[in-house]
Amino acid sequence: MVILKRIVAITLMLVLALPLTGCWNRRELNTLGIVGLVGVDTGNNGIKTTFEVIKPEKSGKSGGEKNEIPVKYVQSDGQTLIETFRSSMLRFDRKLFVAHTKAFLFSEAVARNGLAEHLDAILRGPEMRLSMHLVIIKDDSAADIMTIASGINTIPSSYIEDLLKQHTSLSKSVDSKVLDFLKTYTGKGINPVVTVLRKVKKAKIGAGQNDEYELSPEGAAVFLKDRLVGFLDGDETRGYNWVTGKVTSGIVVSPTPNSKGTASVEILKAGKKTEVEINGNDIKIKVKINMIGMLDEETANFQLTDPATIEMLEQENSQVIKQEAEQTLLKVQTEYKSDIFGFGQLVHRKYPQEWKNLQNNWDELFSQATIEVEVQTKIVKTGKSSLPVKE
Amino acid sequence: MKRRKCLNINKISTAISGASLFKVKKNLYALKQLIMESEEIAAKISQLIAILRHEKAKSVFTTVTANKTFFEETFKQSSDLIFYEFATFSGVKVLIVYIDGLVNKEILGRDVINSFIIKSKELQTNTLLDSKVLKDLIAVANVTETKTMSTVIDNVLNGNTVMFVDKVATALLIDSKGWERRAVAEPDTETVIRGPREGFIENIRTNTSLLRRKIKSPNLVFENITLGKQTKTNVAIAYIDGIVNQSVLGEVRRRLNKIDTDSILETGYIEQFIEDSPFSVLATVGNTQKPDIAAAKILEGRVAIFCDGTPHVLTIPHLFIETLQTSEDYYMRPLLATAWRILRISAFLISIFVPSFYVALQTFHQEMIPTILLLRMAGTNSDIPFPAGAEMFIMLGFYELLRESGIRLPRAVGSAISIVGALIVGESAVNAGLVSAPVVIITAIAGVTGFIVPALSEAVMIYRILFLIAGSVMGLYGIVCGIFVAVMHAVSLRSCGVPYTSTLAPSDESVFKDFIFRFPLWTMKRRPEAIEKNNQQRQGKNQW
Repeated sequence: MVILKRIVAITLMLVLALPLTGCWNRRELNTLGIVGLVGVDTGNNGIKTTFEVIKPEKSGKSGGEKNEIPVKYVQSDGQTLIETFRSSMLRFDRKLFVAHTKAFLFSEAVARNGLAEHLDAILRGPEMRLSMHLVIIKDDSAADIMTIASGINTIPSSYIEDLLKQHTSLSKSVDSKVLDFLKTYTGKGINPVVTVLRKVKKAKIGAGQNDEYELSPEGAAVFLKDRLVGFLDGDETRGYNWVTGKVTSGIVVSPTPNSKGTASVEILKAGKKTEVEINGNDIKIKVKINMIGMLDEETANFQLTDPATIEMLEQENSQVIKQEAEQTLLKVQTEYKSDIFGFGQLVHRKYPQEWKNLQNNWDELFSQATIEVEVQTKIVKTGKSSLPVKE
Repeated sequence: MKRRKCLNINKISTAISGASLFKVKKNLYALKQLIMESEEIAAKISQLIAILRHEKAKSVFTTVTANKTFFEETFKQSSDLIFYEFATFSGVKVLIVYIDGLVNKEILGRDVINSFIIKSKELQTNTLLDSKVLKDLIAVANVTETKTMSTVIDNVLNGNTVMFVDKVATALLIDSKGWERRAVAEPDTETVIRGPREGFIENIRTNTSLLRRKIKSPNLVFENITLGKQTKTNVAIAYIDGIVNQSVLGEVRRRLNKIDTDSILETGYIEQFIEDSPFSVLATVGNTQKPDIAAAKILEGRVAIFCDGTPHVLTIPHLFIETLQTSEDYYMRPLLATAWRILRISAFLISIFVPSFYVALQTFHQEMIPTILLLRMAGTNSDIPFPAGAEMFIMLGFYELLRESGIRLPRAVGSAISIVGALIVGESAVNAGLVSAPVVIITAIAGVTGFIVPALSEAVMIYRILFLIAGSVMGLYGIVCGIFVAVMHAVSLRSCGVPYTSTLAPSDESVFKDFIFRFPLWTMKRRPEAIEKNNQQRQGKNQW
């Protein structure tokens, strides 16, 4: 009797636990179409969604046949993302499986109408991942961009993913995941900044190069709430990265002091400190940027053994950084009027009482705020050689 | 005899008229015939008595003939029962009974028969009738006397020789055991690199002596019992008095005494009669073939059960933690032993879970697989006609078939099977698109790692299949449910009152010192708490 009771209890426990697990489904691997990229453009009925489905490699067939494009595309029109997703399945022999999607591409036009409605599907769908890259396509349609894979990788989704991973090398682009967007979009006192990809004509070198275009993630897309309001170019994006402390690596090119040369300083470490002060209607923001760098290259043949020279070089560097930051701040304040830097959050933290009144038209207030930038640079290394090559 | 003057003859001749020498002779002859007949009848009567009494025979008969008849009847004239009758110089009849093949004939001829005949020559006729004196005539160390017939029969069956002497109602039991036996050799299943190579053999005396040589203490006790109504198997309970867990010992004794069966051919029979949960996959009675392992277990407070006729010795209580320990762990240096432990535990888990995880990930949780691997897997799977779960099931089944046939196979055909198995499964099946390559790889991994924990290899096989079913029906959720059930089951097991998962749950200090980590021996100052609760100290405190 006791054993029977136990068996009943265990079975009951297991059965009752079943509905707790959420959505799961049994599906064989060879019924799935693994989606690598999803591109959303404006279409006749609203939106037009393109899916890149990766063709799995056959086993035991290495080499050869590499000219064959390893992806297939399927596209359909519809009013909502999920609708287009389902109607694409009607036209494809495999069930579209989006859990492995690397990036969601939105064309500029779609983004200007607001991304929130589309991202809702991503947030709700159990298969969709919030760690997908979110990308705004500048100038072209998303479907067009999705066909380009001009690197080593022949699968466009892998090409784009690997390309986006390189964003730290110059700090002239931003890395934005769906989750980042949702966080900054829902957060008060901050607005989203999203990765931008655009098509660039590829230089023709050698006979084997067939690709006409390549992609470049330089720049960033500025949002006000969920609507795209404009773009930043590469340098301005770095300015944004300086102010938000997201610079991890890169090269600062500055004129050399007292001579007509250029010096490249590699960024080893960068940081920022932001302070806000409110006096009545007067909002003062102070951004302190500090950078530790290493001299990689200089063309002016100066004596690095003299600490004074280094100090002057540091000054020049600070000037360049300050200019970058100030230009971005000015452009965002005057043109886009969107607090992408998250100054509002600082105000919220420091003046929680005042914030209640400020938060509703913070972006307007931000555009009128006075922002001061202060840069400190320190060059700690000069490379393997202390003497210049040029005599 | 001094010849006297026969007075009676004269009297007879006077009393009976017509008496003549011829008549007397005739009458005497008739009398002699009568006596002989009556003697025959008497012998027959005693035989009949022996036959009638043989079922309930309690004591040894006085006459040799009766004893012989009794034995003949008891053993139904079995051909291997040998009777050897001889008479001493003084004419006393002696009967020796033994079973051919069980006795050492050298001892029998030289030390029993020869010595008895020569020594008895010097004795007076009537002194021979004393059994105390009889004992001295035999040049064998272990001679016991008994009056009970059942003891005599047991001894004969165990390879002892019995001696009956006419007019003495006592049987002499002479220890003359000697039969064909295997030499002490290294067991095939528990091979080691470091440590003793000797293993138990089929003879219980040799086995107990192997253990006695490891533990030279008067506290090491062997309790003998005989089990099996037909086989009369000698079974010995071994333990160290003062270290053994008394409640476990009592329980083992109780369970062994309750066994009422025809035959005990191997410790496996005993195990099935005394184990706590016969329907569990996990064994709650351990077995070993090596004296050093048996000694170590006894020294931790366990009870060992030796059984004649098998090299496998049972140890009780048997805990889960023991299955992951090997004797070499304690002979190696602690750091290496720890590394080996980790390896073994992970192999145990890999062997159980890899097939089910593979199937669960492939059919339910494709999002958990790295994209590149997923594409590879999708590529290899695109032509396979079966669902992943069925494919894995087929392959695991096929692997088990190969393994099983490998054990039973005549050695000459062995290589053929391995070639066929390797080629057909490894190459052709994949090339023909019947199974995908990852499934073959996973089967191989699961198969190979399954042998790293030999004590559990059968259980691992069963669990692997069960988890595979759970994983292919319900994905990771099924596997987690399976773990839940498996752990609950393991925790609920008892081995003679000791929880099967002891030292893990309920945990004690040896979970740190002797589970994943194998601490230096000098830190293991106490015996495992789970087994022995009273006398835990096993080392002095001042050695480090």
